[in-house]
Amino acid sequence: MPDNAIFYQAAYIAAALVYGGYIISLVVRGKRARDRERSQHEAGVARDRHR
Amino acid sequence: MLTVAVLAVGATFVRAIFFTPVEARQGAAQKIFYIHAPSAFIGLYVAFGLVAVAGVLYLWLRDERLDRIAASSAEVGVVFMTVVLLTGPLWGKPIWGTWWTWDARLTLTLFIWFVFLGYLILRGAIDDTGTRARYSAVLGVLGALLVPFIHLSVYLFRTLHPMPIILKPSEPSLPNSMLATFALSFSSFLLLFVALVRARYRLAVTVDALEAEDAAEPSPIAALRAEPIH
Repeated sequence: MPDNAIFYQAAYIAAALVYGGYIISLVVRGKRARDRERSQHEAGVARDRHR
Repeated sequence: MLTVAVLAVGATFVRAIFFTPVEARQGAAQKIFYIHAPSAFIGLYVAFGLVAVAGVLYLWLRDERLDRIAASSAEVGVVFMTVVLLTGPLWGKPIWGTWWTWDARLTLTLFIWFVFLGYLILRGAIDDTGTRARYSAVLGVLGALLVPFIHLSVYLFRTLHPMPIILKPSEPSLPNSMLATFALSFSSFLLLFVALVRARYRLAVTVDALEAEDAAEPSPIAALRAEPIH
């Protein structure tokens, strides 16, 4: 039986990094969007008060 | 849902690495099959298929929810196909003796990855939501037309890539223990796909709402620019 375990270990690490990285990117983009939503909402409230 | 999907994929990794027998001829490198094949199947048939169906329906119904489904599925599909293009060479090197060969299956897979990468770049380049949705629906449908060619490429051309061992008219050519690991792997990656598309769709809803609000309420600088100078 050929000794080639290093290749499957590398493949599993690569897959974990790609999927994990994408999940992190979704979490970061979601947080940014929520922050923008909050600041937009606060700006709207302040503008309404000013009027 | 995403947490459950991640745990399921983790369980698949553990089963594939520690509780699935090593294939006699290929050695441990064959275990790459449990991430390569499900990622390819879901990326090509499910993700890009969904892009095409949602694209056609968008062109017919002009419902922006369909555009969001297509965009989310395309992005997640590109992630799945990136894993396919990374794990394939890592499997090819010990078995074929080469990282890459320009045969029909591999070249078309790389080509469809570039097409859908272009799809994402196109979406980022167009500001008008209607134009963006229309152009990307057309590109998505045209890109997905490659999928049947990729499936048939191993039958139509001489290629190093093996014939399908699961998706074929006769019985799958795998022993039961390996088939069970593949079934778990396929289910967990499908769950991951659904969870990622759902998360990406929710992000798209928030971003679209913000963009719509920005468009309705111009910034003070834009308002000043719009005012006529007397």
